[in-house]
Amino acid sequence: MDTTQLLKGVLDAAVLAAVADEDGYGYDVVRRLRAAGLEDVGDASVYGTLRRLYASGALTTYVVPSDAGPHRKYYGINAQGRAMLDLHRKEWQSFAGTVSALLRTREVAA
Amino acid sequence: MSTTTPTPAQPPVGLAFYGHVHAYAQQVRAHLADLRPEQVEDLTDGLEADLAEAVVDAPGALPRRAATPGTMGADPVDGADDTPLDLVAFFGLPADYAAELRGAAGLPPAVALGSGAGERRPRIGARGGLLVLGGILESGWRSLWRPVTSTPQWASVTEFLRTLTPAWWIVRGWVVATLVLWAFGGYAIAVLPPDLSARFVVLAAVVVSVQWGRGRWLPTTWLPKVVRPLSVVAAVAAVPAVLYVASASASVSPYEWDRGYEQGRADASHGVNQVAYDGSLGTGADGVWVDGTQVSNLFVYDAAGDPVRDVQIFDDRGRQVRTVTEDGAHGAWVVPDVEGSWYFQPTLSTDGRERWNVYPLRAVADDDVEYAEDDGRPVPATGTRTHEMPWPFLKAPTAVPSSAGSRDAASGTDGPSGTDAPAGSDARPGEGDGPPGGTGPAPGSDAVEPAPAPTGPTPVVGAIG
Repeated sequence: MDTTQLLKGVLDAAVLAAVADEDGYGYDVVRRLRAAGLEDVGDASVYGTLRRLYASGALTTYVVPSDAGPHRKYYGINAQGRAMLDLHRKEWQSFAGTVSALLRTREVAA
Repeated sequence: MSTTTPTPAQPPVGLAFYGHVHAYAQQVRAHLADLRPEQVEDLTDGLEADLAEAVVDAPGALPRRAATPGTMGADPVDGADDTPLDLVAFFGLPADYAAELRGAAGLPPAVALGSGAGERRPRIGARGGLLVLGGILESGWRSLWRPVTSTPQWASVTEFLRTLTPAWWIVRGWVVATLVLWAFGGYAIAVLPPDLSARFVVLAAVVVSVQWGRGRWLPTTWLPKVVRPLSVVAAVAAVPAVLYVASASASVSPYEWDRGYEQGRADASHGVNQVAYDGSLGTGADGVWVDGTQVSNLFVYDAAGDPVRDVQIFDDRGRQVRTVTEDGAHGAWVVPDVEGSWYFQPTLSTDGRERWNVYPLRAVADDDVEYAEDDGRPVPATGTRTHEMPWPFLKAPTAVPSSAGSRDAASGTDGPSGTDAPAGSDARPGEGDGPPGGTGPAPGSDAVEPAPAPTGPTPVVGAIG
């Protein structure tokens, strides 16, 4: 199964969850997602998702200058983002439960 | 591909490394050029940092050939040209990276320029091409300034300016309202217009501007296209408007002060009514000045207090003392106690030269004047004569003793009355006949004392020159 297609549907929730506890810059979030097991997540997909979530008002952003190199753009979650994350959680749990149940029966049937 | 890395654990951080990262990021930006500049900025801001860290974080990404300590230094770490190729190998083609970026950000895919579908081509047209070109130029412009704009200082400056945007919203509303009132209402440019209704206009404009800045009250159909040009116009107009207001408020007190001073000065000179030839002359101008008022004529009295005529006056440097300058000779003068305007005339010395330092000066009435052919100076018309101006005193109020060594007899002719000031202050020489009638050398011919009688040191006309 192409997990990248699955990932697309949950990337918003995953990214929101990645910054729910601690602010992070783009690659920081990529690293967290990969550390959590989503090894196939694309850098640019995460960056784009971060921008889109910011544009929709779910994230805040600020720039942190770096002495060594280019500046980093940090993202943090806000109240709207937390509400969105809660909604994603509920939807995902409901969806995952349904699919899990569905796949389990199929698997048993097979 | 012979690049070696000194120590594989160390990230290849160097200027050239960031240069390659930046080059890759620029290629990504180039593939986003069809988006609006702020969208590109939003999508790729901080991209270099992310790319660099991704590379550093994954040591296997860069093809680091088995680095042996013995070969370190054999090849420059960052100088090889294959490093950008390595970035492509790691991140993929910039076009794909850009496509993933914009796709994840929910932006439409790039408009295909060359291989676009047939039905899309006409829509691109010149405008689309211009947009792409503008995007490329914009990207180039941004990359030109990136060494500056990617510094921490720049970030802090923009951060600081960003906190001032609400102030700009207020200024924008004020500028637009003030300009509209100025252009269509005839109001002066000021911080607040004088009357209530105009003030309400300014207040309403400020409120609308702030609400627009907050993203409220914005009809999505047409206003966004208007707000941006309007903001640019307001920003441009804000500079002269603010400068005008600032200069107007700053100049109020000095201006008022200056005007009051000038007014007082003018009142003072009119009150004295001494000389009205040209009030614009400063005290540093040519001529003789007493107490801030220009002197038109000088009257000399001898030690006994008697008038002395045809006196040559020089200063301590031997220069002729002239009350009437070259310019003054062309103008009419008002003389105390005599009606009309008068043109002073020089004395002619025996060699025919004009001498302006021989006092008292005589004058010709403006009815009797004609203008010289050579320099246009007023001169007595043919058949008229100059007149002696009235003396301030018949005798000087106070007689002074002669200087040591001079003849006492010179001042002794009228000793007792010389100290009698009132005698001279009421009866002035020449008062009886006035200047027009006093044509002779003796203005006080019917006065008690024949003043012009030359006393000791007085030179006579014939001695001049």
